[in-house]
Amino acid sequence: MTKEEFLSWTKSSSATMLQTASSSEIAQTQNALQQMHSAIIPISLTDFYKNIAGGILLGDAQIFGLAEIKREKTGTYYIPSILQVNRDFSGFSNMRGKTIFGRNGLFWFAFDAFGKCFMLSNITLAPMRQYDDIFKAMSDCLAVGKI
Amino acid sequence: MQYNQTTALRRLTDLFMDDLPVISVMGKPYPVAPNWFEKYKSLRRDFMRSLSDSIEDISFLNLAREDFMALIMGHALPENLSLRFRIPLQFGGKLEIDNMFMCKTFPHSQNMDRFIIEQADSQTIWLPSPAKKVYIPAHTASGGPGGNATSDRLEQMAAQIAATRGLE
Repeated sequence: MTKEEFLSWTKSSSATMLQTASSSEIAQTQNALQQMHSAIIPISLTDFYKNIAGGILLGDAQIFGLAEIKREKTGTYYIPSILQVNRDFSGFSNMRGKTIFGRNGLFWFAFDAFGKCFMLSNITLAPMRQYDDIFKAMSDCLAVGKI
Repeated sequence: MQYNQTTALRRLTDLFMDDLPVISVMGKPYPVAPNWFEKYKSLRRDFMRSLSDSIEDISFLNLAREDFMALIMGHALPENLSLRFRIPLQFGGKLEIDNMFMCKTFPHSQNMDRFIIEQADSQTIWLPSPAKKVYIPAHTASGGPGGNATSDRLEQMAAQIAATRGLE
């Protein structure tokens, strides 16, 4: 799936695109991920965060952004940043070398240092499916949010 | 990490869900039917429609009128709400309304995932299982402003929906 196909799909799905991230936010997040021995964000996703959207919401699915997001729907709530989520999950053996970037009500989604993406079980974090294409992984993550 | 009931409840307290009951299952995997996803999609809608019996609890969620209507009609789940299984299918849970509940996605559903994942290699898994269909922590369920859809108004809307369904 190309970036253009993914964008067309998000538009037709009425996904909420969040504010883009700055270069310094990206650099800080990459440094922090590296210190945690997590995979750093692949270029295709940093470009996306910088130029298109700093995170995406669709129903109960999210692509996490680089900063915590305050939302005012159904009361005030906060969507954690990619860094906060990965700090919470950093101790689990299934997460070694991976970085979580999305979730929905059934699965979590992560990438590794080689740019491969994974659909993970939400009860064990065991890989259930592998992707070579991050945009396909993001669309699968978000699609479950609006079933 | 292997929890017992006491340590499981203590962990949930750490995760700000100190009034959330737990149930235990054996941590062995069960086969999941190949067509589970199709059934799950339909079950989600059925569960949302069944929430017309939980109006008082829903009133604490401060939903806008249109979000409430979409929820109770089974059309769409409002933002920051999640539907969860009490016993996940992988642990032998059934695709039934009684095996589901609704809660806020952040922070509760995310923290429930974390609580379960922490037990990934355990023989006995403790699972969150709220007493009602909608989980609202006790410390957030009193003294709220009522939003723009209070219990009385929501009950009126639910009664209208129930009457409409009766005519279908």
